[in-house]
Amino acid sequence: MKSRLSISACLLLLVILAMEPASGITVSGIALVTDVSPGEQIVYNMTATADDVSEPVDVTAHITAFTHNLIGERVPIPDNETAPYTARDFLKVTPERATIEPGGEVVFVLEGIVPEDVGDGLRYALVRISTVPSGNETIEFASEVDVPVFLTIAGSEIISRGEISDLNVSEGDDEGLVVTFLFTNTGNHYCKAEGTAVLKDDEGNVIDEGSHPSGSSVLPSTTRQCVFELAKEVDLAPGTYTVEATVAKTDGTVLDTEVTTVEI
Amino acid sequence: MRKIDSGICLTILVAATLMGTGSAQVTGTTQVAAQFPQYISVTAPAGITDWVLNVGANSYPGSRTATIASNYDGDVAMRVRDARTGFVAPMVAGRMTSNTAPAAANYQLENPLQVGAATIASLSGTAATIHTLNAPGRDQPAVTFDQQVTYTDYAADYYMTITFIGTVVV
Repeated sequence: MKSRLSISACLLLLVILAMEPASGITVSGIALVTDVSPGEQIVYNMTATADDVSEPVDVTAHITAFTHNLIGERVPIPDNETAPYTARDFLKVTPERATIEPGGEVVFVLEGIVPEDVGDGLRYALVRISTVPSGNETIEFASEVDVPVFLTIAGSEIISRGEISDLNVSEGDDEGLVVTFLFTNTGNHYCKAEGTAVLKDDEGNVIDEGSHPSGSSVLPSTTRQCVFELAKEVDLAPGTYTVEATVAKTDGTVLDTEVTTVEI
Repeated sequence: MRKIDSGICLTILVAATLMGTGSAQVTGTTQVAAQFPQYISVTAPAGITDWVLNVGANSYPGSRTATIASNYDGDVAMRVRDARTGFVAPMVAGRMTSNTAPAAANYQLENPLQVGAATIASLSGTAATIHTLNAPGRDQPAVTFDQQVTYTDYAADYYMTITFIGTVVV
């Protein structure tokens, strides 16, 4: 009985040794979304703690410019490249690297002064607070919290506008129609928006419609792609159909509308 | 006997008076205030050291979970990206390399590593969302790893470092 217990304990120890501990991080101070004035000093604290560890954890903090790709995921812009509407150039985060002792915390401070000639609309950036992997495993992991920084320049001209382009309608695999278009934020501020596409017959009757929420906000000078599958299980009679594409802000403000026709 | 009764009554009267005075002295309100700042907690899965690849489709047979928690009022995305930098063309981010440092690697697999939870992402240097937490709350999605290996991939030990990111969707 004693030897069985010993063997079980050894096996358990082996399993524990084979499972490398997961790295975790908790950050409070997770988004800076505010109005600022030219000349104003910004100070924002982000407090990082490591989760359930008995060893010190190395953590880095870095501020980067970014843009969005067609599906709204963030794409970082290298530090040596210019970036439109970026707040990266007048902000810094300190320290850039620190060690969180077990049970301890590290405060990363984002600070800077808004330039007097900052311009109108939005300035934005991203702070990445990340654990440093050990570099000892086949596939290993780091944990990171990304802190978006969205600064609206108070008293400046806020322009909310956008354009639909490349509205296309094609036949889908399932007898329906595939509608695609691009929406570009041509203003100087960000917004969450929703694209819609409405299919009508030649008498104006609505056959089908679809919506495509933007998810993340559409940033100025970025383009989002909207894709819809309409009338998927409808046997469309031969004729002329119209597709009306619209993009509106979440408050209902229409930013742009385009119409095209398709022959079936 | 009557003297004793009077004494008891007097004692009770004095005690009641004193108790009443005492109650008046402790009556009041105390305000309690506390801060619960917005947070995001993200925990990456445990590392993988025991995956043997074969030509064709490979799914990591072990189980791995990640954790994301937040008290934010809105969506919090869990994203993944190749954590490494320093790739020398034609090597690119998202594919396992024969050295932990891509710049020192001789080989790279032809296909990117696929990492999945609610949705599957082909790993690259750009973060891709694999799970969204409807915060406030805490989710522990199971994470899958799939790797396609071709006949032209070289035999070697291959490595990858993946960053699991938690961020609010603004």
